Parts: sequence; C-alpha cells; structure tokens
Amino acid sequence: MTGSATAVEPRGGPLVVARVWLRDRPLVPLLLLLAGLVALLEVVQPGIVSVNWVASTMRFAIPLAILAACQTMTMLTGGIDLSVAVVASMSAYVMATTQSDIGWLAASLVALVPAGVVGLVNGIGVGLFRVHPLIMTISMSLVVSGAVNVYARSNITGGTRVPSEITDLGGQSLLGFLPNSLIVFIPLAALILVALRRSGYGRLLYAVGDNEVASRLAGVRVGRVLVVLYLISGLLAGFAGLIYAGVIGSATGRLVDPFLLPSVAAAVIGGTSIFGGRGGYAGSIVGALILTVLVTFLNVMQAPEAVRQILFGAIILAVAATYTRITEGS
Amino acid sequence: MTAIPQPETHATSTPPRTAPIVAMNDIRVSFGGVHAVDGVSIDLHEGEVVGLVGGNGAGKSTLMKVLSGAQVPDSGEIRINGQRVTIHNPRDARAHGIETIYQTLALADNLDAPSNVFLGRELVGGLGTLDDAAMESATRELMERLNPRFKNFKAAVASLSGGQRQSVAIARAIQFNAQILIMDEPTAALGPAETAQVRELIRQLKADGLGIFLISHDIHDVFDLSDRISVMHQGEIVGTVERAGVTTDQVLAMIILGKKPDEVTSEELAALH
Ligand SMILES: Nc1ncnc2c1ncn2[C@@H]1O[C@H](COP(=O)(O)OP(=O)(O)OP(=O)(O)O)[C@@H](O)[C@H]1O
Ligand SMILES: [Mg+2]
Repeated sequence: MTGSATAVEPRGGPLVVARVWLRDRPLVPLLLLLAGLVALLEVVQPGIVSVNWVASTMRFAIPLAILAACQTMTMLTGGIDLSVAVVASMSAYVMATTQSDIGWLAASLVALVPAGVVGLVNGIGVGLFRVHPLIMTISMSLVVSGAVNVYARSNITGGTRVPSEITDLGGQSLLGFLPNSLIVFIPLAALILVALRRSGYGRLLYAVGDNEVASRLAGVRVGRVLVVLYLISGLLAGFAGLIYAGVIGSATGRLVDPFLLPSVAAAVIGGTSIFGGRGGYAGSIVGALILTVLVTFLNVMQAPEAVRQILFGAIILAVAATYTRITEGS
Repeated sequence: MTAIPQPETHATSTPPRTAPIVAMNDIRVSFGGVHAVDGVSIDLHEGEVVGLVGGNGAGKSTLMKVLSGAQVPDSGEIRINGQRVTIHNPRDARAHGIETIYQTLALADNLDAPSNVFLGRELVGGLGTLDDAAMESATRELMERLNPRFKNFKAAVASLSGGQRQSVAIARAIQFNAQILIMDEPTAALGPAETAQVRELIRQLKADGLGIFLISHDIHDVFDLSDRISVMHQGEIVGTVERAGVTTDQVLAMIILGKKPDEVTSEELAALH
C-alpha cells in the first residue's frame, strides 16, 4: 500500500523513534499544529473560539478543501491544476447569472458544464498532447478569465444573485454548529479518500506520478488516466465555486481567485509531494483547516495587508519544509 | 511433365524443430540518421534461451523494444506462433504473451511489491474496490517459487535490494502467463549473489517452457544460460550460433570485430588478446 512502508525497528535516540512514529502517522503533526493555532488564537483574542466560530471556520474551509482535492489528485501524478480558482469563479458567476431564468438547480448544473469543458481541455492537453500541466492550466486560466469577462459584458441585464438554496447550503449551519455544506462535503471527501486508497484508478494516479514510464510500459493508458483526472478536477473546482458563492452570498467573475495559492498550499502542507507519487487527501483537508485558521489569526492581529501576506507565505513555507523533513526521513 | 510423388518425410540432416514462437524478419529502426536496427532477423523457440550480445549501441535494446511494443519499427515483420502480428504498444505485446524486464528497472518505487506486480491490471473485488489481499497472496505464491527468501510484501519497493526488485519485475512478467520473456541486462544492477539468484530463475523459467531473449554484457551469463547466441554489431546481426559450437573467444571476436568466426584472420584474433 502506498506510503505505508512498515517501519524498520527504530534504533537510536528518542528523536529517531519520534520521527519514525510520526512518519507512519503523518496526520498527527498536522492535527497538533491545527490545535496549537486554535489555542494561540484564543490566547491572542480570548473568547473568539466558540461554537459559532468553529462552524464559520469549517464553512470557509470546505470550498478550499474541495479545491485542495483538485491539487492533491493532480499533484499525485506529478501535475498541478492552476486553473481551479478561475474555473470556480466562472461556475459561481454562471450560476448566479442564470438562476433567475432557470432556477437554482438547473443553473448549478449548467454552471458545471463549462467547468467540465475546461477540465477536459486541460486533460487532453496534458494527457494526450503532453503539454506541461503548469503551462496548460495557467494558459487555460487566462482563456477562462477572458471568456468570463466577455460573458460578463454580454450579460449586464441579467444581474447576479446567489439563490437562497445555495446560501443555505454554503452559509448556514444546522443547530448552529454543523455547516450544511458538510452534507455534501462528507460524502465527497469520503469518496475521494476511498477512491485514492482503494480503487484501481486511485492506485494508477500514484503509479503514474511515481514512474510514468514504468506505468506506460506496464500497459497503463496514461493519457486516458490524465484526461479523466483533469476532467474531475475541473468539475470539482466548479462545484467548489458554487459552495463558496453560498458562503459569501454573492458572486463576481473573480470570486474565488484568491484561493489559488491556498489550494496548492493546503495540499503541500498536507504532505502531498508536488513531484508526484506521495501523499493523500486526508492531509489536504487538515491543511485547508490550518490555512483557514491562519487567515483568521492574521486578521485578528490587525496587521497591515502587506504584513499579513508576507506572514502567510512565510508560514506556509516553514510548515511545508518542516513537515516534509519530519515525514520523509529514512 | 509430371512430378514424381515425394513421400512425406521429416528425415533431414538436422533434427526437426518446432515452429518458432517468435520470428522477427528484416526489422529496421532508425533515429534520424542512425540505423539503430538495420534489417535484423531473429527467432526464438519454446523453452529456449537466445542470448543477444553486442557492444554499446549495437541496437540490442532497440530490437527488443520493437518486440515489447516500446518502439514501433520502420519496417519488418513479426510472427508469433506463425501468425503475423502488429505490435504498436506494450499492451499489444502483452496480448501476445510477451513480457519484458527492462534494463532500467521499471518499477513504481513508492508502491509495494503486489501493487507493482499488478500495475495496470489491478485485481478488484466487490464494489470495484482494490483487492489488496488477493494481490498480496498471489504475489506470495509467485515468490514462493521465484525467490522464497522474499518477505517484504508491504514495503515500498524503493527500500528493496536490487535482486529483490528484479524478482518483483520478473514476478510481474510471469504473473500474466508470459510465453515470451525479454530480459534486458537483468543482472546489470545486481551483486554476485543476486546475479546467481536471477540466473537460477532464468533456468527455471526456461524449464517451464518459456522462450527467453536474454540481453547481457556478461559473456559468462550468456554462455551459462543460452542455447543460441545472436551477435549484433552496428544495427546488424553478425551471426547466430549454437552455444555448444563456439568458444567465448570466438563470440568476443564477433562482438568486437563484427565478423563471423570463419572470417576472422588469425592476426585479428591474436590482436584481441
Ligand atoms: N530513442 C532514441 N533516440 C535516438 N537514438 C536512439 C534512441 N534509442 C537508441 N538510440 C540509438 O540507437 C543505437 C542503438 O541503441 P541501443 O540502446 O539499442 O543499443 P544497445 O545495444 O542496447 O546498447 P547498450 O549495450 O549500451 O545497452 C544507439 O546509437 C543509440 O544511441
Ligand atoms: Mg541496451
């Protein structure tokens, strides 16, 4: 099984023992970090951590965690999907501009169509024409941004509104502390976790990222695996956009754009290697929570925007570097 | 004019051979101006090991890539059990019972042995989920036969020794009932004990009736294991000889000079030593 290399009898000091123990339980340090951040937040701003706060943190973290799924899966194959943020924005915007004519459900489904198309084009570029995923998905981002602009200009009359069904799903909580979006996120996350660990397709994602040539020689249809992967990534990105529109309660053509780097960072912090073949989705979910709490923390500190940006970047770097050292050593 | 009816007879001077399981005829591959394989014909029979030798860049790997589907030839014909076939990719080759152990070990390092053995052909149970238990027990069964000392079924293959990794590669090949095995430098990355182990494995696979193309730079490997030896030089076959009918010096002369033993002058032979 992937990443479950059984530890050799640890020898040496307690530090080595701790490292081996952590290497086999990669989620533990992440959960500790998350708990530490929450505790620190409570120290800096006593009383902030409440049931309400937990619910709101989860509501923001869920769309980020879905975008992080796109990065996790593409990174497992040694790729990346930098189009997820603009695709998410596009879907949110398309939904918000069409819902008055066709209703919220049809509008949501219609909004996923261009997301799927973008994913498919990414997949064909990366999987069949061997374009580097970075180039492919950045280029598609530009194309999508342009297309959304054109669409926005041709659509001034319609106006945008996020329907109450979507704001209920994204922005409301059951009994005041269970975000409604968990209803869709829990099954989705479970499906992704099981698919990565227990399905033949999931195993192939790891294999392709691990040694693409070996996979090809073993008869794996690598191109097809990648086309399907980027298609899934596009659809998930679109879905994340709809949920986030529900969290915020409005939609513009750039709504989700600031989530691009955090989506990559959540996967990296969560222990997925950008070089492929290593990692998993559980870490990315915790990564998304950590980043969401971190943003709150920096907001609470009331530092100027520039300082917050610098800190955000520096902390992500530090966590990713430390975590890789802890969990990769051998 | 009427032909005199001939009695059907197999009485020939050489003992009758079964039809070859592989016959490659007039295969050509060039890369730009380089004729890597230049009109090569070679064949292989059931239970036979054919050693393929030649200097660096002679075209051995390229020729075998044509058979394993990793390289599409410019021209030439491949027959498997007498049937003309087209092999465009590794899946086509596999469909004809051809499996390859590559010169550079083609394993997914972060996956364990069973996942590598079943790479691309994973076993699934109910609900379409991976049946890791079944893949592991099948791998254990194979290893029982191939390499009984192999015990690391749950570790990433990156942590295995060269010999163990080679066992995994070979297990993958025979798991899918290979009839024809291509081994490109199977012992190049191995120590002496592991080399002995792989040699033993090759003998056993041969006894099981597999036809094996063995590429090796180790002339002793080749003499130890092959029934026939084909020598390549600059993209062409210098000659194919019965192992029993030649000496290592004669084969070395063919490799280095690119000539058949009877074309080599005594001065040339002396210059080799
Ligand atoms: N993909 C390729 N592109 C260009 N040239 C190639 C390619 N593959 C092989 N060649 C060239 O074809 C010739 C034959 O190479 P090949 O790898 O078949 O030799 P070889 O007999 O296996 O050598 P070695 O014993 O070193 O493995 C060499 O000149 C090599 O440089
Ligand atoms: Mg070679």
